Amino acid sequence: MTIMKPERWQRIEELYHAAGALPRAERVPFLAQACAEDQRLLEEVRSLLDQGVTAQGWLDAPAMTMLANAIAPRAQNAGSSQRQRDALQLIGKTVGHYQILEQIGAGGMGAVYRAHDDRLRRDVALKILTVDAGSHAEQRSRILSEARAASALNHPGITTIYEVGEDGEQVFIVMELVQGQSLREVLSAGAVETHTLVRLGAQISEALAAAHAQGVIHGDVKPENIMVLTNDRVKLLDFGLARQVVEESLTVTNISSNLPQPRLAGTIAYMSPEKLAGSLGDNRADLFSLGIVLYEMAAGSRPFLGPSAMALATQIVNDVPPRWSGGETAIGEELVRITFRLLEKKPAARYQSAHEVQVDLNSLSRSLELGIMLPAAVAGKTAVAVLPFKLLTPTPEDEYLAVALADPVINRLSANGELLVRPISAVMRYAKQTTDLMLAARELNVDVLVDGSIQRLDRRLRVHVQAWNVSNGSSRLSAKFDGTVTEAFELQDQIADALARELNPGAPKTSVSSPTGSPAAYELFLRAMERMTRNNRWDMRIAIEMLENTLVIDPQFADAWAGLAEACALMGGIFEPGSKWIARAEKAVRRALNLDRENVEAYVARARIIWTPTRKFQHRSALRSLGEALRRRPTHDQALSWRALVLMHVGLQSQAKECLMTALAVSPDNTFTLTFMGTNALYAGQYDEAWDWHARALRLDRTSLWANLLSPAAPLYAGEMEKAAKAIQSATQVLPKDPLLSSYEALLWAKRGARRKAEQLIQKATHGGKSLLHTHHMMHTVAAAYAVLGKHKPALSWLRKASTNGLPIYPVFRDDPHFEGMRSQPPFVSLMANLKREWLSYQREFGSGLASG
Amino acid sequence: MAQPSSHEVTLLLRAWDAGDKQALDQLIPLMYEELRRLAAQCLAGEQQGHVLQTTALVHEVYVRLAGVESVGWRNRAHFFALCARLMRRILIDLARSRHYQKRGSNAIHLQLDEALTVSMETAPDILAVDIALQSLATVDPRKSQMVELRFFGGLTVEETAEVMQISPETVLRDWRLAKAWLTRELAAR
Repeated sequence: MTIMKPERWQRIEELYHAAGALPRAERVPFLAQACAEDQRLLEEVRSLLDQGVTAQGWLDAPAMTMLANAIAPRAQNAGSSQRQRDALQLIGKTVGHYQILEQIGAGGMGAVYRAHDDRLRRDVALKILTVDAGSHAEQRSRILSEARAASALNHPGITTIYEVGEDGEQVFIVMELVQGQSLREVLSAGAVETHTLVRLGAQISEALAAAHAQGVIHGDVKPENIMVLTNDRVKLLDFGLARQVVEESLTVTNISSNLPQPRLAGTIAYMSPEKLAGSLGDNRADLFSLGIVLYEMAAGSRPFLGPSAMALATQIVNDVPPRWSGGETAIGEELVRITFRLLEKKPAARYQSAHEVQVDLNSLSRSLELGIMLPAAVAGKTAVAVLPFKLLTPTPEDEYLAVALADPVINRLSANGELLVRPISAVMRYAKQTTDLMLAARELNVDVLVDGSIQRLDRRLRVHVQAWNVSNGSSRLSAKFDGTVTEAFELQDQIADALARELNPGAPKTSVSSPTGSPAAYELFLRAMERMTRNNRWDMRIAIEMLENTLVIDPQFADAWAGLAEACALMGGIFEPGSKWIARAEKAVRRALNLDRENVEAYVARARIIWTPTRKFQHRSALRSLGEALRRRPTHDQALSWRALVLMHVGLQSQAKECLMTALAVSPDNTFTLTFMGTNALYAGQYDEAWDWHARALRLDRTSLWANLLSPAAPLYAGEMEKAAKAIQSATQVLPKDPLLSSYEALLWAKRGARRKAEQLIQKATHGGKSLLHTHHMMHTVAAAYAVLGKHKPALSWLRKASTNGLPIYPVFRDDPHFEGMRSQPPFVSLMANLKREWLSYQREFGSGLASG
Repeated sequence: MAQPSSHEVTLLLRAWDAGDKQALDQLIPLMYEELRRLAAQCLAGEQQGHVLQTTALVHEVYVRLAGVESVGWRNRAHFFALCARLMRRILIDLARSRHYQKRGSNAIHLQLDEALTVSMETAPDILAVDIALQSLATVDPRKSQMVELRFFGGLTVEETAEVMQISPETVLRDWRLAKAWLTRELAAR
């Protein structure tokens, strides 16, 4: 790095603190003014401010803790209690076919050891239960059956139980060995930062929901039983196991004693009022405990702090805990509401399912994410979802109307960018099913929900539209619209108008005239558009045919030309790659733009077409075309995602991120956007973050091809080989022969030092036919694999190929750790110099967002 | 190992401070032994439901090493600064030895358990932090020293203020920027 002048650093410092003291939305405008012409100064300060979000982290835990933690498990001279002496005696012994290696924990149930499974040759966690077999035969069998029920659970948030066994007198449970800290350890540093809290809380709820759905209740949810892995992933321990023991210990004598009883108190503190009153408690008892855990994470201490078991129990049954201090923001208040609803004394007044808690925490997490990182242009705008309308008497013939009437309404409402309207792709899953409106609203994370019903009598349609305020369930609008099928355009125009007047009264009324004079053409067009939303090859073909017929009826129908262009581009880009479809798409897009220079969809389609292998990835033209679309409709989610995708490929990571953030504000659950978010983070060197985004996309859609294909890269780069191998494996199940996966595997084995295997896989990747994704990603990975193998010549040649085939991603190649050994070699240096020149030119034109784009 | 007197440790620290490299070789095992003892205590304590605060843990190491309370005020600050630098050295040595091990060499500076080197795998790359910190020192030596005190030395805000002779508010302000800078620097690698 270059040495910075002290005055400049001082200036950066001043601006950093001044801007940091402002509300987020005001920072960029402030900096823009303060930095005036000095773009680099602005970037410098802004990039530092960007770190502020995540800076609270490992740096705040002194290096010493890391050291102590590292030494701790081995410290065997620790303590002197009888229990520990017993535990030490077990080290080196075998139970079943498990060899005990060291003790890693202890609890009311018995001790936990790290052990080696001699048969499967892996390390496991082995819990040996302290059950006196002779006198408690009944208890023993109950514990065994509980553990067996829990072992049926299969969820990433729940520790997997491999085996429940008996070895002579001993009952033992063999579990997945979880590496991480317990939430108790995390809490020892005080309250948990809100964002982390919400993410952890949502994951705990998700795991509980999965268990409850299988009829398994945890029974002892508390920080000691919640493991936090690196990446803020959560795993719950001891499902159903602790329950028995807890109940045993909860006898009247124990509770009524006024002496402090640390262990019992630790459990009682998280126990629900109904369990304390002697009832068994159902899933809602777990939810109460979750409430205490959330409270403790938010406040840094538990809500009830009675000094004895009796005092604690009395408080839990009678007292309303105080609201914790701090976080008096809208987000903080929502967290208080969720927590206190969990802490309701009566189970019926609480959340009724962990899933509902998860939904609320997830939507809070989104607001947090979006609220924090959202570009100022979209922060705070009203989010609206228009659900597909319901047909009161559904017939296959009319089915298309549900989407066909709602989709144009969505487009009209989002036209000026003042409302964040969820695109049709986000609401499609609510078509053809009865929906709990409020649940849908929360899942979609919107402020206003619109739904409608269609009644058909012969050629006449009656559409009843309602808009709801999600926060209080009140009605914003309820209106009926009548027309014939041939008046479909006027009908949706009236609906959109009425909604726009209600939701966005300030906006000037845009008069829209019918895009075609022919009702028949319009009906056919609507049917085609509905087909396209189904997003598969066959419906796409049918849509193309319908659009061609539409255009026979009215060749001047620009929207239909644009639709045809998009459909053909999708066919040629995804479903049947090849130049045939691309050529047809090109023709259609020209017609559309000749008829209507303002046609947003045509600009998007145009970008899709020219940014393909057959058209040699014209990054610059594609970005310009998407710029045209976004200037006309700033919240077009597809245009935003595509723009991000292209920016990402030319190495403009922070610009891509901004587009993706806006796209997420419009459509938070779009798996494409989430996947790109991950890959963009990967390219920015943030491997953990990349993994998180990919995992999030996969949680929403297990079968998402893109997320599956791209997710192995992050652990591969982070050096987490096991995780990478697993990700490759599960992607292979979805896409068995993709060359990109072979190239990942090649890199994996190259890094593990298996040269021959790596080289074979490189051959497989480079001769493996067509990848779902563009081949340049495979080329880049092959280059990395060669570089790791020390074969610098082919590495360079593949890297060059990647860059001339659509991936001239200079900063990523420059910093890719796999090329470490070649960095100083002249051919590499010269390739980088060329790529840098190209990159700088992209940066000049597209580096400062849309304004100059 | 016989427990060294705190006087002895103080002398070694002074000698190291004055440039005596051999003093460091004697200090590192002492410090390491102390850390080990504390970690063991920490483990035992946790099983009874107590968790030691990190700063308390750090202090105990320092106090046991050299009896901080007996050292005068001015010396105390200086002592803290030295301990922090010592901690940095130890952690970096640990990280390096892990590196060597990966490459199959036996050149390990310290006698360490395998367990220690294995479980360090998950921690952030200390070597990267060290390098980033060196480049921060070229831009802003004060903040670089502060990170050494806070992150490597485990000092509280107040102690850091005391050592650096600035106000705690300034420490907090600088700390924020230093963290942002380092996080960004590490992310860019």
